[in-house]
Amino acid sequence: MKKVGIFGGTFDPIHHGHLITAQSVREIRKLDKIIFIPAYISPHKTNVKTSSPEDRLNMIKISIEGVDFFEVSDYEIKKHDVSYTVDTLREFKKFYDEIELIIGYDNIFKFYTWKEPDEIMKLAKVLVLKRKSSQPIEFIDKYVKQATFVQTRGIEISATDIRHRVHQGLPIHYLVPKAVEQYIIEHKLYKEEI
Amino acid sequence: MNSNKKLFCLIISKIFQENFRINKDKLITIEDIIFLKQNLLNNLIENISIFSNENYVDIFVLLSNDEINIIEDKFFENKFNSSFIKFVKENITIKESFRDNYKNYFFIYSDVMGISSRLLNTSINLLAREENMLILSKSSSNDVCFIAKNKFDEKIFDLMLNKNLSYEEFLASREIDNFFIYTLTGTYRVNNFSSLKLLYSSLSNKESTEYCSQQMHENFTNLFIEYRDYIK
Repeated sequence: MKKVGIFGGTFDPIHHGHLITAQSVREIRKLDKIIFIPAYISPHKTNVKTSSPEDRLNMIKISIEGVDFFEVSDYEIKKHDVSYTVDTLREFKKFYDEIELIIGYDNIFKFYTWKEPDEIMKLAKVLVLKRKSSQPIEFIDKYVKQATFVQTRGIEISATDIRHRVHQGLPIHYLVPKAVEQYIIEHKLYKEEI
Repeated sequence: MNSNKKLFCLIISKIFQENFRINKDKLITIEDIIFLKQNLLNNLIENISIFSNENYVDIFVLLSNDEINIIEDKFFENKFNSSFIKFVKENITIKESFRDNYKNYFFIYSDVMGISSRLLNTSINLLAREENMLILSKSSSNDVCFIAKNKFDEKIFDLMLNKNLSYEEFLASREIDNFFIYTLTGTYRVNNFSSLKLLYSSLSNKESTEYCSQQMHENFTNLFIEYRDYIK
């Protein structure tokens, strides 16, 4: 059975920061593969305007094409509802013995608010992406204690910034893979006010 | 400077009795509003004190000059005798004493509920970065409840003194351009009659013990009894 890393997020759009981080985590943690899982975001339930789930999924697909240690799953998108990490992990646990869940640095401090945080800790090893600029943590709760902190390459690219740049007609070369840039242009993404 | 010390500046908001109108004929009395605000402040100070010790925090209760005449005597009839709580007036000197003397800065409206030790710990962990970090907590009605930062910034502090800062107004402000912002929820301000009703209902929930002690519950209950026909 394979040891996999699960990397969830909005990925609107996926960019080089995501891809370099995922590659780096895979190497540090010696994972067989990383599975990108774009979140379903209901257009009716949030005040955040995002691209369609299909566009976000397609952009991931084209950016990992030909890379055998990256995969994408449409599991959460197909549910057509807000997914909880614990439910996704339960599903993936049917197929993989060892799962490592990749989360952003800030998320570990609010981890206690997630649905069934103890269960998540049982289902997966939680990997926290450490920032170079992080200072020592002052208050260590049981989740911080159990998590594994991973110092990856610090690629500070922001999806919000990319959307703003497209909206303002600025170039996004070097921020996203060429194929994703093409996709954004062809599908006229991020043209409206964001 | 204590390299680990936190500053908590509790900003006392003005009393607008009209905000506490129950119906066209009835208002909550000014004495009861002051009682309410005293309890909210006491509750906040209690939570900060439980969360920390005197060597770790300084608490400033900030009152702007134009409010002093209205509530000064009644408000300060209270029992704060701890050396790490200072009652101060809003002025330039006080800003100077804040500058660069602390590791973290919390600016909290004194009528905020929902501030637990856990929320404060979370905020402090999120602030532990070299970049300019700004943690903001807002209510479900989009009122800014508190702002925490890892560097003192006078412009942001002045924004808070605006007393009724909305989330949208804050995000639209140019003063925040250089900050990484993280928004927390679960807090609310008790500054009108509808939020008093919210206080009543939220204190009925078990979770409220995280940010409101048994003694504080009882104090608020004394007020609820007075207005029980209107707040349920």
